[in-house]
Amino acid sequence: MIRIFLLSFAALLFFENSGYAQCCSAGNPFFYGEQANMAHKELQVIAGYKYSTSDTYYNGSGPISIDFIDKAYFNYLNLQLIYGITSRLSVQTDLGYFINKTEDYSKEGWTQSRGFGLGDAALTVKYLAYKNFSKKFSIVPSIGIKLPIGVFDQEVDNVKLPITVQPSSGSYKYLLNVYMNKGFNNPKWNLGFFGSFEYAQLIDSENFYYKYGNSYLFSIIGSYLLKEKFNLGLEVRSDNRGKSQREDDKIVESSGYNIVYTIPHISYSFTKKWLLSLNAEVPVYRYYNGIQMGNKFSVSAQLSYRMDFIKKLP
Amino acid sequence: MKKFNFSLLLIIVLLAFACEKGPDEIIENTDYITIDSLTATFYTVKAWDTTTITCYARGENLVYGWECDHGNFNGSGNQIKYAAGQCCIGLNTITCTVSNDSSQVSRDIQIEVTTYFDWK
Repeated sequence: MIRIFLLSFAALLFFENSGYAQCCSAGNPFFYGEQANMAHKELQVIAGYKYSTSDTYYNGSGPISIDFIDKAYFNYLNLQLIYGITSRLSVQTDLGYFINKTEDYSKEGWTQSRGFGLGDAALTVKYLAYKNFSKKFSIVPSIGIKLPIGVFDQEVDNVKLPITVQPSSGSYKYLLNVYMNKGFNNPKWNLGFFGSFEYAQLIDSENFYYKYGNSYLFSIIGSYLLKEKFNLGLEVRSDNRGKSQREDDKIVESSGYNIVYTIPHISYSFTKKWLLSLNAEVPVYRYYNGIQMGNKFSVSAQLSYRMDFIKKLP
Repeated sequence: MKKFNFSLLLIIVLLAFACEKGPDEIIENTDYITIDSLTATFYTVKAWDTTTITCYARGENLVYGWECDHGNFNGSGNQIKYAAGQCCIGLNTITCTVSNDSSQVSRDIQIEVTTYFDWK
């Protein structure tokens, strides 16, 4: 079994052009394994970096030649804090910053559009609703809100940048999540399931009326402790977004998608407190409504530090 | 009589100088902005095709700002390029705002973006 797992992992890690994900959509990008629940009075600080690039338009599942955007890419930083208020209740905050969110055009006479700055913030409350030690099984539902605290009306030379390079989504979003974790008799193996529903609030400003489609995300995460300090993981994630709406409640036909990603993951524990992880997002199936630009690949790195505030007995 | 005429002349001269327009008043007059026209090379474009929009305005030290409800801009000043993808099919509103230190005037233009597939 471990051979199959390792073989799949290695194949996926270098299988770069097999599929495409959504690029430069509004809001902060998703990171591998954001489901952790913390122990009482334990704090985890996670600094993350993600790079994503895209250069192909898709009509449904197949590529289509469109002479407009040559390449779209972003460099993104994320700061995540997770704190265990009690042994069952944790609170998580996320803050994102786009170093750049850029579109290079192939269209004659068009020059680069580049946005940067603070993205959305998120606040999530998680509750360990069920835990069975003997079966090594737990269920952690959570609720959250994404706050568009960042830049949504960025201009260059008094010309407003397109929504696709604005750092913030401009919309409040509400989240309902559930994470289920299953351990095994062999403690090296672990399996998780993550489901998430996101409802985006209507943006109704003076010059802009828009509602992003609802998002449904399902994820299965398997991990294996390779050596004492090395951990291998593989996440299969189905990311689905419904169609958006514009003024007069008209449906935006070329919006929304269904993408299945495989996300190989490797992490290394320097000490009990420090952890470095590397991830690659490789879509293996994608379907875009209408014509949309699809991602070529994404890579990310996360550095995490754990600390506890429980007073040690002398 | 001569004394009266001299006094009258003095008053006229003083009033004439007193009424001379100072620099501030000149700026106030030229801050007035008028948008004469806001035009596009094409008012209906296929998805991802470009139309060039030009704003003709009168006034001093004019700054041109552009925003739209859907689509992409490129360029700056009184003339910009506009295009929108398949995501933005429909009647899209482009707003040009012309401003200087103390005034601001806006005007809208609507561009219809049609589907990439059914263009005739």
